[in-house]
Amino acid sequence: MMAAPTPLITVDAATKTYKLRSRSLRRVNMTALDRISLVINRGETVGLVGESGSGKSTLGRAILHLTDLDSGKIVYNGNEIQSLSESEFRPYRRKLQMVFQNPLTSFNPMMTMESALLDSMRLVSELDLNTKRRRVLQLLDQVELSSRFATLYPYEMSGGQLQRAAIARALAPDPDFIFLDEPTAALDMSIRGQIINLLLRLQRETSVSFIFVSHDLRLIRYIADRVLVMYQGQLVESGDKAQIFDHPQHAYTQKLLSATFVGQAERAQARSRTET
Amino acid sequence: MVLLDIRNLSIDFHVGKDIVHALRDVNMQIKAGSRTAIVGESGSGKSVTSLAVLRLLPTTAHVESGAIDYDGRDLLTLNESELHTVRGRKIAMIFQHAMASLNPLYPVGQQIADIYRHHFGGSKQDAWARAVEVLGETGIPNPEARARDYPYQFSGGMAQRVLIAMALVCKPALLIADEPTSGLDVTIQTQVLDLIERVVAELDATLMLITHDIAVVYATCDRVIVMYAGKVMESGTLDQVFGRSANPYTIELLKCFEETGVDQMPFIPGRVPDMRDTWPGCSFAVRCLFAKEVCHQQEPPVIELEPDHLSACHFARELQTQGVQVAPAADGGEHGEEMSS
Repeated sequence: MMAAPTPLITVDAATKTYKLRSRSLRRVNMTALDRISLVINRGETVGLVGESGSGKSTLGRAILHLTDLDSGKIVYNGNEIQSLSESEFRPYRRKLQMVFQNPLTSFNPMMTMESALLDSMRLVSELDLNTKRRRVLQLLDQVELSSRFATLYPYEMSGGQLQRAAIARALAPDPDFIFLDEPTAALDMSIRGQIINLLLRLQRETSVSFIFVSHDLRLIRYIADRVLVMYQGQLVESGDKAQIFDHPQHAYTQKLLSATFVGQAERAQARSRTET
Repeated sequence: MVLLDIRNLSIDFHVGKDIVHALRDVNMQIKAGSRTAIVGESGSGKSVTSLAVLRLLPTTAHVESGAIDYDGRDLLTLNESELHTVRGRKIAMIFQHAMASLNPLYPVGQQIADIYRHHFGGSKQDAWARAVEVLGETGIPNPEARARDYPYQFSGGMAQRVLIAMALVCKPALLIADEPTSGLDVTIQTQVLDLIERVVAELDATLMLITHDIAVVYATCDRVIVMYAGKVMESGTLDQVFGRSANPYTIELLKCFEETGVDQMPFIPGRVPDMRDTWPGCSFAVRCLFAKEVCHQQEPPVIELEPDHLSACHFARELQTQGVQVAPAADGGEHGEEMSS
């Protein structure tokens, strides 16, 4: 870790309410973000946990300027970005990237990996096409895919390979920040570690910042420096990793911990003790 | 006593010009009264096995060989009307996506009552009352009113409870649950697993739980069958398979779940084989740290290490006596060296 962390993204009292209609067609408000404030430092990984509907993805969408806020501020690199129009935001777009849960549905099935990665560099004006082509091969190499993958279509690749390509695509425009929305949830347990180790290495090499969303606290333990816990649109717990794992405060965090492999193994032991 | 005996089951899928060999001579026994987990990664054949038991395989599937004995009969030889007396009544199944398993056009109570009447007859009122009763038993609040609700009015966890109610209304002897908690929130997962465990105990039924998540196995089961690439790698009690693993795949898979506290997260190098291919040796040999020449050339025998504890590995005994300390082959590719301790 660096000595004095420099803030990359600051979210200040971000609030977002979705207006929905209930079963009886009454208008109801759902507060997805309730005065959320947080800071993401350069080169840092923040683990984000919370049950479905707690506002995790809305937070990611808000930072990436894909959702308007009702109130609050998002500051990236000293610039307030949440109030910008789409064209004003365009210069920042390439600096803020996202990797989704299901790699198969996040690629255009008609595009090869090369065209997908080139497409991601469309807003990178300082490089010419030949340079970008070379960069595609470098990026694939960075995520441990050989150059033959450049000509492959999504259906020709496994889930793990595709998720590597999705990470390469997010890295292509040289971003400062990547929102990783459960990037390993659709992958088999035996290869999740490959993706986690890859992300750890890439971060050392590029000092990109991550928000890593996951239900799996074990992954969070490997990858995150700090952990945030969201519950019903609010930030209910935040702190460094050790603090959250050793002294979980919120009931939801405690439940999450007890549902892990180690938690269940302890439970199984306790049960066999009572049965005998 | 063995409730379900699957013997030499091989199933191919004909997909276009390709033939996918999904199950390759699978043998497994589900003991009556056990809570048996079938663990494996995608493509290991765990779901195909469970679908084969209820004869719910798609038309592209071809049973090449084998038998599935249940209650003295081979389920693979039953005709359609005989199957109707088994499905739901003797063997019930819970699927992964609860919402997709319910008919969106009918109230859930009616869907449960229909199944009850199909198997037991009786009046509509009786069947409805029984449906409300089982909904209540699965912990759905206010079951009289909820029985009249449609599937879209239920959350994922509640819909899974409806499915469990539907499975238990006929008091089956065997309950098959295929990834019943994936897609649910972690905290809801525990509730659903607890419910399944309670229901199975109350019915005095047998549970066959398909999962890729070892934490789920620990939470719910007392026996484990580990599958990889269409084959059974290891089976036995929870203690035997997870506590005294005698198969490299199980050992490596368990490592992926452990808290190691080091910087690098453990994983199994390589990827699962293309299931269109066939090969002479062990399916896991190409990813196995302990693989020797023989592993690539000969299919491993199934070794019985102790009663009930089976492992399909040439070196099962060595692995168990020497633990995981067996020296891995240098660079993973060298063959022919002796197993050293």
